Amino acid sequence: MRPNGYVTRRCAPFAKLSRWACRLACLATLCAWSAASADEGPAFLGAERCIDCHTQPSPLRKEDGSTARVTLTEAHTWLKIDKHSLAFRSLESDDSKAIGKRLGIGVTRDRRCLSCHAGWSTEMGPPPRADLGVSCEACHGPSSLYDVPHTAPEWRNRTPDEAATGMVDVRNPRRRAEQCLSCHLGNVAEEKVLTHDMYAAGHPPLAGFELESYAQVMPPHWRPSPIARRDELADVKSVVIGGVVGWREAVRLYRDRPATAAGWPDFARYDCSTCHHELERPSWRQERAGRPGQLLAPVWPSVLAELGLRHAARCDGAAVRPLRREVEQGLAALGPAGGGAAAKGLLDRLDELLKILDGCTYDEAAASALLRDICEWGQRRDLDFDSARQLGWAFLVIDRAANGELPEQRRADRLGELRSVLSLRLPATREEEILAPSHQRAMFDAIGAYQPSAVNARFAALADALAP
Amino acid sequence: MTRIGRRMESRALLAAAIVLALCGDGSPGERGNENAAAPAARRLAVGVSSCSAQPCHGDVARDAVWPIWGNEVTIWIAQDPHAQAYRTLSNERSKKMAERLKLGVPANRSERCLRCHSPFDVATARGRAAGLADGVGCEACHGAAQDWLALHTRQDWPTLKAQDSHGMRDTRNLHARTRACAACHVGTAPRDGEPGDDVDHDLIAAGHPPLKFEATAYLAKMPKHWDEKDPRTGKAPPRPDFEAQAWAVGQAASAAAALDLLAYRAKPGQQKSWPEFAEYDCYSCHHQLYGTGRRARPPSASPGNEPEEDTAAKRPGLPTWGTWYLSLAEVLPGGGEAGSNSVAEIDRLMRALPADRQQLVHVARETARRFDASAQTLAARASPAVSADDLLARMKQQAPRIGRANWDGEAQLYLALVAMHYAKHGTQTLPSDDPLTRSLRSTREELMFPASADDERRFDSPRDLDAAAALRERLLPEIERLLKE
Repeated sequence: MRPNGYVTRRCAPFAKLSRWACRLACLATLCAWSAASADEGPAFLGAERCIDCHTQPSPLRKEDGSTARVTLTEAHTWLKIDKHSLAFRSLESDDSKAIGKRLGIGVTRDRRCLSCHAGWSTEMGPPPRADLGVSCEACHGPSSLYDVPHTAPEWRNRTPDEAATGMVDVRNPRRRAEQCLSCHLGNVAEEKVLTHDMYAAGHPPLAGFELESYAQVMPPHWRPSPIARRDELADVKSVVIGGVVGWREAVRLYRDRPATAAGWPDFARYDCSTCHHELERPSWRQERAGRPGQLLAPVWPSVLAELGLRHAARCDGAAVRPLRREVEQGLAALGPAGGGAAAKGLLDRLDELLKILDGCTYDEAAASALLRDICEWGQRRDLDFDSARQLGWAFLVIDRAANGELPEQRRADRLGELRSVLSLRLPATREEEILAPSHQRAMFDAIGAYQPSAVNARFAALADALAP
Repeated sequence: MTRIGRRMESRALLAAAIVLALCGDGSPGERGNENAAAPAARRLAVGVSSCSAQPCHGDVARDAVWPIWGNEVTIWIAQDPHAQAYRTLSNERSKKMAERLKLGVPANRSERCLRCHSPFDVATARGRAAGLADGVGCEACHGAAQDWLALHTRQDWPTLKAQDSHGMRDTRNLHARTRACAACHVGTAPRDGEPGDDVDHDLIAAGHPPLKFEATAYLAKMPKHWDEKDPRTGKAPPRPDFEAQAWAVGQAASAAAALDLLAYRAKPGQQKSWPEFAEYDCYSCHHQLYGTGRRARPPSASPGNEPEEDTAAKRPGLPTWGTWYLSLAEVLPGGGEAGSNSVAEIDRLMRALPADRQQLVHVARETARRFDASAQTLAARASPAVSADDLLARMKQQAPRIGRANWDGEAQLYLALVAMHYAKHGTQTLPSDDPLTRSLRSTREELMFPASADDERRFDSPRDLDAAAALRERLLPEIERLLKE
């Protein structure tokens, strides 16, 4: 189809210049790439290299069909609309400076901040341009592994096998979840860990992350997957897989950074609202199971994993029954204190669960069963705020995927109430600063006014509004 | 505690005692207590019914002739909340607490609760006549009467008592009195084989009110069955500054009790969780992250998060310790020497990573001893008068530090000002037409916890308080005004 090969085509805009010069430039690129990949392991080559091609497709690219697969405006979208490109710049705000002052660190230089805010990697060090924030390679992987090959026409025919291509398979909900969660939840191996002193100094809370809800408010710089299955509701699958991966990553976080290793607990490993609430009577907190007065592990990362277990049980009951038992035992032995062996067993079980879930169907019947599961879980009397939010987000995504953008009036009203009582709207535009008082106010007001009974009632009403 | 637990604990005690002995710092008396294998023979209580006969302490009205009133039990039973201490254990809240704590028995049958709510029901210490329903009766404060019941009716009892009290507590002595109150109202470490009284964070989370004891304020509330006398002359009424002295003794003795309890809680090998959250300022953690009062600004810009100049090493995100019992320690006469350095050291140890609990136990115990000695000196009859003006001058000096956006410190300061107001007027009531009284009353309103406007919820935390403003606009001017009086 492209007899002349991609390398020459890529240089076509410069055809009026010396053809030799162009070849030389391409050769240099190739050399740089091969040198980097062969000698020094994976390396960040920097987002600037990506921006060259991914800002505006040339007429040639449109003509040769490249733009049917990729927009080639990715960098434009990311730089102009996507919040991730502001991740570093947000560190330069007065609020961030104040946080740094309280912690006694320079936030624009400190590893604790840059690992997430600039994609500073444990293995590869800082990216060439930290000021570009969370840029291409933070999610897609170090580009030395794929920089040149991915421009070749053959690339399109390759399966998205990460080991072979070197590029993170972000179309795979599991990999996507892992990439997002490494910052949005934490990852010890990648040195992306938020501690309680950072929160106390003013970092906004990270609690609550439903993969697909976050992904859907991110300005898309991708086209629908060419290999998506027509019979599959991809968003529903993403919620379920993302939920299980979320829990697995949370378990990993506790294993790698137990809450009490240093003698004083790192409160960030516990549920924020265990302590941070006004004292009041009567209090639903006192009716929870467990010993009064003790710190609690956050429940929210496990809530959507429960959906995964239920969904897996519906498609392969025999395999899931023993698995569920072991997961529950593992959970009981774990807690935020760590528990090496328990964590290991639990992680293995969750990997098995993910394997089963890969083979499950995600059709409308599955979606409606999941919606029912969510409503049932949402009526638990000990439901905490963050868990309720996970359920709320999951409900909205699955409902939209299965029942369309425009719900009938009664359901629409109830969804609206749920959105406001749980503050489900995500501040996704570049104008909305997470540290802005108006946003913080809305979220913290929702936390402060939270009563499980109010949310229970809304999930009960939603259950009624679901088609029988 | 199980038998194994007890054995483990006694081993830990022994280990701690050996370490202390090696350090050469533990006083002999303390070591004696630590090593006490067999509890001293305990005096038995005889019960309220042994005191309440009409000719003794159960008269309907006060006797005009006797030096004692004669109607003490009548006042206690009719007006004093201590008489209801046992009945409290049967209310809904207590029932719920017992369920949440999984006590296995109702609260009114649980030794853990009864030790304070009806102290002489504990099987070994109960005389035949001392009933469960007595609640906190006569002997809870005056001492088990087995040995002094007959003696104290004798004419020569004052002389006899001077030689041997036979277990009757000298409640006229402010130090002895406050330590008796503090045994329940602050807490007691286990000692001499007796289990302690510890309202820890588990108990509070299950529904027990947190213990925030302030001796003068509690005494002012207590229906009196005695005349307060001058500790030096033995005559009523006491000299004007009596209330100032009572406040200072109360502060030092309560601090000593709190530090003794800390030393017990921090002991390594304890079967209790550590850190013990009841040691810290409740509202360091228990607050909405963003809302009203001092949290009216977003967390990133909250003034409460600013590093404090004098504790530059403080990491953000650690709860504050010692805010209730020690916030006014430096105001006490000789308070600076009694403990400010070691209090700062404990504060450091309470946040240290990893926690050096051995050292913490050692410093806390030593500091408790110093505070207790200071309370004894202040309470002694020969002690020079504690002047309200001196205390106020020191409060003025310390106020900015005390009230640094902290409800505990400000509530203590408010209670201290009320005590100084008492001292200036020589009463335990405030003159109602006085502008200062009006100001103090509105400060009190401000410090009170809000009630939810739209439902039945009641808050137990100072949700709306802007403590820094309250200090600036109210407490400091009130100190000034009291100084001028």
